[in-house]
Amino acid sequence: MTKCGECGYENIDGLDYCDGCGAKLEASASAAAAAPPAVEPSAPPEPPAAPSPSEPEAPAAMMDAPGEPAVAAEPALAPEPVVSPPASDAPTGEIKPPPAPPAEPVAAAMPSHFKSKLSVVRGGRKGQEFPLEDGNNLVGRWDPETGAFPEVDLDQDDPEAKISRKHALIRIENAKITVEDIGSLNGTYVNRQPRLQPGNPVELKAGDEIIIGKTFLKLVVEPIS
Amino acid sequence: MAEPISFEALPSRQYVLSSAENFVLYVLFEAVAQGGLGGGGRRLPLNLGVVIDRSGSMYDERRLEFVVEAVKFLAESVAPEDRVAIVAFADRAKVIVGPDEIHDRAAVRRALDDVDLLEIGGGTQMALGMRAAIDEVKKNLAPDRLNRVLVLTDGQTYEETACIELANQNRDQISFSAMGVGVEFNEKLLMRIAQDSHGKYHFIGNSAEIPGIFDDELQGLRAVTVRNGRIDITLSQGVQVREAFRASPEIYALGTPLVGEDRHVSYEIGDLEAGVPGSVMLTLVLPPRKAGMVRILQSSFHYEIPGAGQHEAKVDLAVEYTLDRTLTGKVNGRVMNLVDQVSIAKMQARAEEELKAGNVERATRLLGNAIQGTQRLGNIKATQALTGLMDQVKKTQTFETKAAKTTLLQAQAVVRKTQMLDPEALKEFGKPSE
Repeated sequence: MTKCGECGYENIDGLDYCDGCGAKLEASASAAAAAPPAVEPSAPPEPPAAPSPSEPEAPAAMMDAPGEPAVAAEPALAPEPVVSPPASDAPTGEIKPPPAPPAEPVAAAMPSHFKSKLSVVRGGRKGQEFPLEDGNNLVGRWDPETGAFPEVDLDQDDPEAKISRKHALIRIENAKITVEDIGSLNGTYVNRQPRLQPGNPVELKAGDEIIIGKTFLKLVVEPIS
Repeated sequence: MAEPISFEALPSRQYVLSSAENFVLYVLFEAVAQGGLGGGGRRLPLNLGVVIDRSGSMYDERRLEFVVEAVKFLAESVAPEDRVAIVAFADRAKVIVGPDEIHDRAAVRRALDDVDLLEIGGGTQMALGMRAAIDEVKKNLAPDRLNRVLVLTDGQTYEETACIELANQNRDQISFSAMGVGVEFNEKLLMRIAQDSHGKYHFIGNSAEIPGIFDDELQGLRAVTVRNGRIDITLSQGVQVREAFRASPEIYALGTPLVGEDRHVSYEIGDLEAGVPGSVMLTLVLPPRKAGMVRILQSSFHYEIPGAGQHEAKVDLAVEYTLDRTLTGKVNGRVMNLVDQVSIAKMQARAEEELKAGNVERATRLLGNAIQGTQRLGNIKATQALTGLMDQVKKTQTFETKAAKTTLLQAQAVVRKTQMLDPEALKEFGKPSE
């Protein structure tokens, strides 16, 4: 992460201008050159362990263009450390990002007991509703082949397959609702803000709009008295 | 025959950071048609439809006079194989010069001098004018001709959807260039018509510029040597497109593409003028990986050489993941220069949106950062234009007044234009900075 010196927005490494305020990110990858590079090593080069359940499109790798993955000897793909944040191996000197981009912070006060659902408002079966359960709710497209059995199955809403089989995770925990992109191809958007960074859950509030593929969903929250 | 084009995929960095996080890489896809006469290029005959707005407001600031002068000049310079039709519109549209009559100079002059006398009302039914011109151009439609409609207007038309539909329905055969005079016209409409069909959009702040802009447009058409360019990109596993921009000759957003399961994205870039780069800039998000060389995409450029068929040029792009931050700090100066220009154009557009939404503070902040960007690039013209815009925003907090709208249109025009198109300068910048 590269933190913007002007507005504090957490930007992806390598970005030239801050997504939040447009300030030039002088730091990006280069300024850190001053830091002692020796402290680096433990970071990412762990072996690509067992295919992480979070990487949805992994099986598709086989079907990719001939000679696809690497120029030199390099395994097909390092699994993205998405769902379970690799707490121990954060590169030295880099601050862990706060969960939500500071764009529109402070979730509206949520009732302590509520039931919630996602409702399709555009681009799909308009009015279709998906009740959300406590814990994890997978958003994606049903596909037994790859073991994708989403609670929020948008297969019927997405004839063009712009939604990944395992696209995003909605989590309800301690009276909080969060959404996290789990490495989708086309990204997840909340209230038309910049694309969510995979692996970074963002808190939702009632009425938030989530865009996945070409499908627009609205979060509906109803208090239970 | 020498290679008719060069096609490159240039990354902002050759080395990217190997860490547990995603990394942004900018990639410039650029095609340049090699120089005019010897390079396999030959001048293509024109098949034009010129659409003149003759609404009441065209009499302001002598606009119609300048248009008539420009079109007369065009008629003088047509080659025998060229076909040009001229249409005037207001509440109705009328073909005043048919495509085969353009070589009769006396008749053309008479028709233009009499444009005042046409009984076509005083409104702005641009779609009618466009439709009449399309019909004329279609009479001589041919793949080895440059089929284009030039629309000149100074007002809001009543049927914007119809205009966009006309451009889209015909975009495979005809491109549309749109010229807006004054401040009353809808620049978003004109831009869209031009961008969707790979024509050009010109803002004309001062009527006296009309003949010059017409001339630029013609010179551009005559320099076309490569047609119907298309950049095809197949992304490697895990690579995402965050943003896409047309980067030259003009800068505008292409929207974030929805990548299908085949990981394929495609960008049409239209015709190429000899020596003028046509390019697309993608902001990619690369997944975390361990150190090593990785191919991140395959790309190809498809194009047509008139009379010599379809061609394709392929380029693969590999970058090296490394832990060494001195290496990841090295950037390609030319690519970053374009990234800066694209970012400035983006900030200007965002500031416009923020102001429209009433967020004056955010708008000024974005503009302030855009100005810093133009200063860093040493682009004096853009700095002046944006500073003027900033003053307007602070003073009136809106773009609704005539003065503010003029400043806005000027700033858009300057920011949109990719600077540094001199091929020699480009070569200099192509060298990676140390």
